[in-house]
Amino acid sequence: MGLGLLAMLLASGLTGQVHAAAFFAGRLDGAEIVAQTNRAWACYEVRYADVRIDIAEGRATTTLDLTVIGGAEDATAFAVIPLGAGAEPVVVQSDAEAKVLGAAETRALCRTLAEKLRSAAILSLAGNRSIVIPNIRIGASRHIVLSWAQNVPVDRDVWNYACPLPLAALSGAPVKRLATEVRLSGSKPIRGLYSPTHEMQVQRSDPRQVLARSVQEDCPGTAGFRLFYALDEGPVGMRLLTYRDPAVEEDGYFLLFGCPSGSTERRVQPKDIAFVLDSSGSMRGEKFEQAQCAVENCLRKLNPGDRFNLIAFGTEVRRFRPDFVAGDAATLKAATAFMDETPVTGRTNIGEALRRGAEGDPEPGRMRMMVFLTDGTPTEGERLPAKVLEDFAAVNKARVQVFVFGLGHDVNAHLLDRLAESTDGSIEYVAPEEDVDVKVAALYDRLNQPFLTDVALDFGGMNVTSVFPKRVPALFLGGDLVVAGRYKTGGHHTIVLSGQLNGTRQEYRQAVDIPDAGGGVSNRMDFVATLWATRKIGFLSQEIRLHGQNDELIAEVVRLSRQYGVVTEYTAFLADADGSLTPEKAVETVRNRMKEANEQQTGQWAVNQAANDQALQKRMAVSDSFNSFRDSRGDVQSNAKVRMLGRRALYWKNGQWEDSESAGSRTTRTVKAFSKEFFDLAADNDDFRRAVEVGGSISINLANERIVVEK
Amino acid sequence: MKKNIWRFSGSRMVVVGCVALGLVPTRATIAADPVQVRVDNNPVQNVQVGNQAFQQIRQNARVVSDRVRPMGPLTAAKIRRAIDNAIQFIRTRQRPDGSIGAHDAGSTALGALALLAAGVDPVGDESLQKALNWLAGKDTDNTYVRGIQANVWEYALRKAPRDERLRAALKTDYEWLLKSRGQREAWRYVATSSDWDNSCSQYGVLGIWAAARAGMDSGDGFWRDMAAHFLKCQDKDGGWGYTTGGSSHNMTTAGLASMFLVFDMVYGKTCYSRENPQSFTSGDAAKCLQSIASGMDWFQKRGVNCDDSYFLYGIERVGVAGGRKYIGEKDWFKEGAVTALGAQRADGAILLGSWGDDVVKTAFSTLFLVYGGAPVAFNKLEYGNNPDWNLNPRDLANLTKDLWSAYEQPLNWSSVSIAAPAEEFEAPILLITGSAAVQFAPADVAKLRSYVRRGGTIFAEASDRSPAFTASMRQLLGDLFPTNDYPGIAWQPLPPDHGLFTVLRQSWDRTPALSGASDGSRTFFFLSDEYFTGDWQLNRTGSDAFRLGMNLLFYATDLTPLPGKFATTIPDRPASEANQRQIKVARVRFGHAGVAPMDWDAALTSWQSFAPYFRHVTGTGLEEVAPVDLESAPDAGIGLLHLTGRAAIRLSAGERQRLKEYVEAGGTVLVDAYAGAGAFGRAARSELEAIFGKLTPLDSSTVVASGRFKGGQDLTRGLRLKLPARKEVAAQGGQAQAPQLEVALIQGRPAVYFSRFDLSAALAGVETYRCVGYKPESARRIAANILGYLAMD
Repeated sequence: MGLGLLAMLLASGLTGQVHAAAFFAGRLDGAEIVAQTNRAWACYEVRYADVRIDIAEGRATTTLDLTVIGGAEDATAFAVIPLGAGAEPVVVQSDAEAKVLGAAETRALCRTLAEKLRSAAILSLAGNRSIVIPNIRIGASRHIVLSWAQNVPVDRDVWNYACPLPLAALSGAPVKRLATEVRLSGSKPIRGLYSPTHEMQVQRSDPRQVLARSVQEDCPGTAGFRLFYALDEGPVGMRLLTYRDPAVEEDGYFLLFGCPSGSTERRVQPKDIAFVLDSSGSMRGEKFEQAQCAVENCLRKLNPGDRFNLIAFGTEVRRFRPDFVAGDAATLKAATAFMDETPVTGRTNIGEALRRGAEGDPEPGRMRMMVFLTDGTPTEGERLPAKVLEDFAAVNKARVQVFVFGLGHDVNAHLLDRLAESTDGSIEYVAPEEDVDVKVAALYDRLNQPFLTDVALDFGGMNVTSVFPKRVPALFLGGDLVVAGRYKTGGHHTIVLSGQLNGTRQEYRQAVDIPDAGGGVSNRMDFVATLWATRKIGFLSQEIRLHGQNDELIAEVVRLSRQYGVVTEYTAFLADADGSLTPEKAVETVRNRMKEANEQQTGQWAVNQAANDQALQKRMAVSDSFNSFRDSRGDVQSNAKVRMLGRRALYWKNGQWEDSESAGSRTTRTVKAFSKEFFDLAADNDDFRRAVEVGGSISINLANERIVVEK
Repeated sequence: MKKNIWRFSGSRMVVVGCVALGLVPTRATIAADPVQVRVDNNPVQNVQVGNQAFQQIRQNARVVSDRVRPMGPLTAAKIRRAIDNAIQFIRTRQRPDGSIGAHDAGSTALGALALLAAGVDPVGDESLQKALNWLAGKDTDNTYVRGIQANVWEYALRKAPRDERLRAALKTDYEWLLKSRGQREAWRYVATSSDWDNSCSQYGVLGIWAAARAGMDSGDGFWRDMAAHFLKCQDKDGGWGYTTGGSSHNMTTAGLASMFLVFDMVYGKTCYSRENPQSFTSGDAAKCLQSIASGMDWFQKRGVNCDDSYFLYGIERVGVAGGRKYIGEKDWFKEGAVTALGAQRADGAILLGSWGDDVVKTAFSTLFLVYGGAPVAFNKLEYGNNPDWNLNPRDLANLTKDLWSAYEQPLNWSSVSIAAPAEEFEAPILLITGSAAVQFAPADVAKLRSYVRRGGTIFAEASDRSPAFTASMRQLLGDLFPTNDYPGIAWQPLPPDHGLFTVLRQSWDRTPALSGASDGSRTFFFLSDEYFTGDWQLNRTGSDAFRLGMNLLFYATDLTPLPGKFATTIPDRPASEANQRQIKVARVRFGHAGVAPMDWDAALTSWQSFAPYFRHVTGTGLEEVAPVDLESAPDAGIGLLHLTGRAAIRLSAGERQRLKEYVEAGGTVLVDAYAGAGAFGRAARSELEAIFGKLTPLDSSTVVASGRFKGGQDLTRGLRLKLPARKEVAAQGGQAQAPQLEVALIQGRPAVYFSRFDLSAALAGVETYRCVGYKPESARRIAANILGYLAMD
């Protein structure tokens, strides 16, 4: 019987390390790994990974359920689990016993594996303890469940949970399905749940209970799972994450997050909401039925004190009631009848519909909102988009916030985007294969309980610049406040959030403590830089698209995309360009691409551009898995030749990964991969270790040196 | 010898030991005399040089091209993508001044027409507006350009009907076309020419026709002149030439396409009537129809030639106008689409033939793909040996054209012979008309039954209210579904609140008088007591007839957009590696004796329709075995028993016991309410809970829900219900996108699946108006996971 050897590596990220889980063939000899004589090293495939995380206050129980695809041979196997903090027993659902290795043994193991596998990815595990599970037989496939408990570290009132995930570099294939589910409960309301690594779908059944889920398919899984959250009784529960590179003299980066939900000060503003429905001929059929269903769902959820009106527009504009009315049973019934009787015919009189929807004077203490659904362009009444907006602005004395739904691809994306932008509303595009009622319900659930309007933020002495979004939108209970920017001055400050609540100006203060360098709650916070750059690129792209080209803005988009490795429709080519592309030529190329693309105001391409800009400005997760855009046809595009690495990126050029920053006057040092010098550098320099984890040859700036790693 | 195929400047080439000098792909290098060719640095043998060799290569290319350069099966998604790519290409050829391509007005007009046809908005799209502005500023002395331009303006006017600038431009071209023909028989390139040709003339006719659609009436005289012209210059062989004599493929499409327009414009004001039954069988109208028939015969003998984009645009207009799937015994669209997609370059250009620049060629091909590939909304049944089936030859042509605006996309119709294979009945609606009694042979009845069971809807109407025809249609229902087996299926007058009348709110002049036959979920057979087909023939677009036609289509498709030709349920991703496993599925024959004895049979075609999808995504086969009746224990090899129906199900004690034993022995049961039938759903739940205990929602963490197995799909995200089901879920405060399956766990295994929402009709592709169920793709995902889970090692 051939003796196979399978190893699984996991690293806990409690101190901000990169986390990994991997399986590969090999033979265990004490704490040493020895390649088998009769077969080459081979990585096994983690096909499915289900991560279940139960967090109660600051105590987490993690269950990692892995399906591993192995070879046909019999195998003796072991697993390595660096535990990081804590000394809790690990539960392994298998027919074998586990054995704990100390940090020194684990380091030796990792180094051996890195050499054998010719992969530096494993180095992230060094420094942790590990656990060995002998005698696991994989066969064709094996189901392995690991479970452990740990305390969640907290720093400056921000809880920071981390969990290892399968690592692509050490897997035979991307994980086909990676599902992460977090069930979080606290004694205080849970605030601003934020993951920089995964886009989470968050459900708040109760202020003190949150269910967050993320499912990725064909996931390269290069990053572990990280989650930040705050527990706070205050009304908003703001927290600040910061990053400043100690090696560079430049402004720091910050991310402010919070969530006005579940505070003891539970006050909701009453609202006057108009549902303005396109009933032109193109809406005929299920589209109008879906829109009608969407409105009926919203009306069922009106709060006491809310008032509503309905407006249907085709060639003519019909209004349900002359003014806003309360949503009593009889009125709701009449509203349904109004929609049932609405003729779905004619052309699209957007201008008149908006005008009628904005009529009326403002009433103190009541929020004015409009949900606007259309599938077309103005074909009746005023047809010029700019004039439609101008006319609307002239009548919008009540400062109605417009929440726009563009149905299908035949909308004028410029018009709708500017409508939302100019009213501090929002825009969502509903693809033909999506359901209008489902999308509207998701938005309305977020909008149903207005909390603050006319919101302003004062960052005190932080000396902030380049803050996004430029204008903080109205806050709703259960909605997230997410603001990214740059700051000059660290130390102790007070952030003041203010806004109108029930007709009076309210202020909410939050003391923050910003370290001078590194990160806020750990030394691996450089995702804040990537997040800021991503959102700024989204903002600039939208500015250029909606308000015309500006060479300065275009140059900034090029610079940011290149430095931070953010892939966009206009700049994706930068990753493919050779050394002959001058900055001037890059700007010119982007200018031309933007010009060609921005000329499309309607159609799929126009809608996709708008959706891309929105996605960049709302993006939360900034790992490589999410660094993508939709092209003119709606296909998701990414570029494998770029890797984001905090405030820098690596580009695949001439057979090696190159730092996005030029070497300048730095001296070049060549390091042989997996040499002693290589391992010493990896042990001493976190940036170097993270860079070489990408694999292959690397050329990267480190302080005053350009380090070139040769295979 | 290894074969290579290259496509170069639109010429399809096959290198079979030879290469044509001057048409060498960039990968090949050619040395000096004697010619040596290397491909990928490998020498190529048997090199021939010269035109003869090239011709030989072209011949060979026809034979082997699709084989040696496979692009996989033609699908609607691939066609749509090809159109999108072509449009992108055309956009890249636009100059800053708005003109497109190298042929100035000609390429700009065709480029603009292709953009419009592909759905680009003339109001909101800046580049299209620039092209239109550029065209409007030109004063072109060219019949082709004027004819195409007129179509551009007319198309743009449909989106912007009050745009007087567009109308004025159309009027200018219309007047130029009328004036430039002058006293001549037909058109030539420029106004000052004294002769004519059929290539220019077809575009002249097309331009005048576009103007007529926008209300610019050139009068009967003009159209009769055109009829006389194309009749006069038609060759004896049935084809047309550039002038007279020497029929060619391109000119025969020109003649035929023009004859269809002429016929509609001259004889479209007539419909069949019992008083005047010879409307289309004698006189000038009959001559036109005979001319068209002769033209079609010309292709019958010579086939089609799809290597030329000019021809593609011509044959598309003939095929679409004539409602023909086959021309010259070829599926003309399939032939052309395969050629066009095969020739498409990476930049989107489709360069076929030699006529025009790259924009012109690409635009012609795009128009072919857009119009020719549009979904077929109606089939018209061709039966018998006389024209009784087609007494109003333009009824569906007019109706379909009018429905374009309601559907906001081109639609097609086609005639289908009762002798054709069952799969040729591809449209959601089958129109049967006639003036005499129709007697179908048992095999034909079976074919129609199969059509209905696959989701088709029959609309039958007597031409001018012939009682004999109507009576025979009443009889046909009994032949399709004998009363003994289907006591619930019978003719009923449609009430005013029937879905056919309410699916779209219409202002009826008078509620139409129709009867319908329902299977309990949907009305699948309508019998009209009116004469709507006459109004369709007369193109009375504002009449109840057209309103009914629109509602009929929306009802029969449950308001679901029709997919284009070659739509498939197979996902556009590589197939899973095939394995040897085979899952056996059996439907359960449970009884409602005397009430609905065949209710158990509702999902007759579900598994058959689903099997190719299942094989594709899991690599596992699906075999539907004979239905089981639970009088004895089901075969142990059956992996899944399926029960569905519409009426309340009631199982005997024995049936319950057998079901229980089957599950305890490792079997799996799937139960769903057909089309979401509440009576069945409620009763089935009671039965299942009586046998297996309380049903519980399928946990999202289970293997079957998360799809953690080969070919498995994630059911926890993106499952989509139809609107009535979503309303039901929302009314109960649930999440419409969460899976709604319930299960009974037997020894920890999900062994019984229950869905109150329809899976069966969705799997069969049967669109049922107001169906309370899953959308088809979601139903397939659910079924694939249930069966795929059974196939796990």
